[in-house]
Amino acid sequence: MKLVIQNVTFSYKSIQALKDVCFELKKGEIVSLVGPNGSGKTTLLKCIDGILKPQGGSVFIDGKRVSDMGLNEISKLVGFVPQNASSTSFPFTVFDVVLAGRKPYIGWSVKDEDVTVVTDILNYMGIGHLATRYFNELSGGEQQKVIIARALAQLPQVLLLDEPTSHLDIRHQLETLQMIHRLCKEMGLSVVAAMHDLNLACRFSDKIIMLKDGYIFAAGAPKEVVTVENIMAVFGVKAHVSLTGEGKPQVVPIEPVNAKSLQEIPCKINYAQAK
Amino acid sequence: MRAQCMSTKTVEDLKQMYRKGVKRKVLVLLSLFFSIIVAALISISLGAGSPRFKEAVEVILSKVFPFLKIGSVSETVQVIVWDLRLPRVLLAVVAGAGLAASGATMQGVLRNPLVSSYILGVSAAAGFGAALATVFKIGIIVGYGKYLIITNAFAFSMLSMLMVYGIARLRGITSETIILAGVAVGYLFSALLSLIQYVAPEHEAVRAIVFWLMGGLHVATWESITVVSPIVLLTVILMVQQAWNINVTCMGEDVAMSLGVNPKRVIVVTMVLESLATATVIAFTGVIGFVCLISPHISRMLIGTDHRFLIPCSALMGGLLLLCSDTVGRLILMPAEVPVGIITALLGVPFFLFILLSRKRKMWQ
Repeated sequence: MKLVIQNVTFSYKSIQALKDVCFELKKGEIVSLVGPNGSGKTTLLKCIDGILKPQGGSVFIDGKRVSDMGLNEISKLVGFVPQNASSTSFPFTVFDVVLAGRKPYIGWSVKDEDVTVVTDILNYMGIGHLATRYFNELSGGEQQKVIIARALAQLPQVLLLDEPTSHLDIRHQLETLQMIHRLCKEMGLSVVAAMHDLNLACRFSDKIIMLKDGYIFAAGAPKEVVTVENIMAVFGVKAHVSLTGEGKPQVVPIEPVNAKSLQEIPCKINYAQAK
Repeated sequence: MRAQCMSTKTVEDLKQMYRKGVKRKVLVLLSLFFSIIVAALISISLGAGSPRFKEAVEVILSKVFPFLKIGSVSETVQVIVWDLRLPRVLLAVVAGAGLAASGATMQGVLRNPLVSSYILGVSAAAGFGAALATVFKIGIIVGYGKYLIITNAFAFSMLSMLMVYGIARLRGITSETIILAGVAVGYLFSALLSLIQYVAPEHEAVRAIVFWLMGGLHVATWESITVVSPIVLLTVILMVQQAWNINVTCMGEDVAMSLGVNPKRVIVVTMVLESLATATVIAFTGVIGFVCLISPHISRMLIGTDHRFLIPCSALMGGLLLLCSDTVGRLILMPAEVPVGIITALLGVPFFLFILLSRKRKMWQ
């Protein structure tokens, strides 16, 4: 058993973001967190990484409680790929960005071993040719890969991804998820990914956890969780769900329920006049 | 497609490339260092009573290594070189280095290219402290004469840092809260400074304040060197020591935490170092702006954003810039002197714009 989340509860001042969240994740497993905006996906990832301290419950990695560890110790076990990857302000080269993933192991000077780890990872991910390019000059897809490479340079056992495909084109979406899938299976990483795309989540995960208002509404294998009823209850969306040849659910969203009332509100903005 | 990408660079190639990059950066640092030495010797041999270049070198060598018994330079030249020029040149280098290293550090930690001691209120507070001492002879640390201005400027700089910290703490220490608190505190002290100038009873005092605010290195003595250099040297070393923490904080606060670094702590630690260095320098030289803003940018273009190299590079660049500016300021209207603050801007802006416009690369996002 690798990652255990036990009754995790978290509030931002008066707003409760996570309520009694429990789940377990084995080595080499991928779990996707799905749910509407504000349902607590990012908060849960940050609690696992120790960026936020849960007010109740604990997170265990390999039997060790995360809240008992220092930030540096956690950073050797957990890699985090945040959502807004390109928030760096000054131009770093790709190599330097990935090298920063070695921070938990580096005193001041960079050892040969660090350079080896970074080059190996860059090559493994097929972005070696970008090493001397500037991070902020890359495309969104390339940036995402670099940030994942940085997290891998930490040599973590748990990889957390916050909407890894949110602003990628379909090719990069698939490439990124395939890569994560491969890493997970080959390196025995446990992956927790917050996802918006239900179809991609179903295709690439072993387990799906559906969050609603900070608690787990449903959890289990994709086809048990991603159902017409659950999508209706959690997202308030009427959807059509079919099973693919591999037995993975495929979702076609149709319309939000209660949307009628929205359509009935007369539009008072006069576009002709506004011009 | 993938096979193509993989084949372009082997692991060995990449390692080689990285090592070459590091070598290049060290080379940049070394060449800057030697440029400073050459510029210093040239600066010493220029100006009133101008000792020749060779004489300047001889005097310095004979003073540093008295056992060598070099040359026979006249007493006057010895005094000019050793007691007037050399302290001034050294102060220019040290002051420039301290200000520029502080600028690089704070820009990195706060992820903002506009941060400088001006923005964070340190300069305004120092100015207010100096004005208080000049006009009303009031000091918060006991002192007299010229020491009153120095101690006061220093004390108020540190006070402004504490105020910024205190205000930012109320909302949680982040780059935004620090910058906004810094701007607010800066405006407060600027207003108080204006108030003093407005109510000052004598014209002479107001003139003195204005002169102080423009900054100058004419105060340089061996005494000031012995105070400023150790503090600047120590703080810059400690900043360089923080380089990795600064690097990851520069990539975002969540990123820093996930890489095992507490960004709040980094901000506080670097802020203490920055204020200490800046306050010490400004207390002696008056407000010298711009060097601390521009040197990090030039250095970033030369050497990249890795703060292990950027901070030393910035320090050397700041030293060189201030040294050149001061030399020009000393000579251009001889025998009168143009305050160095004016020259740094007049020389620095075109230089900076030239580099800025001749590069296609974005400097920040």
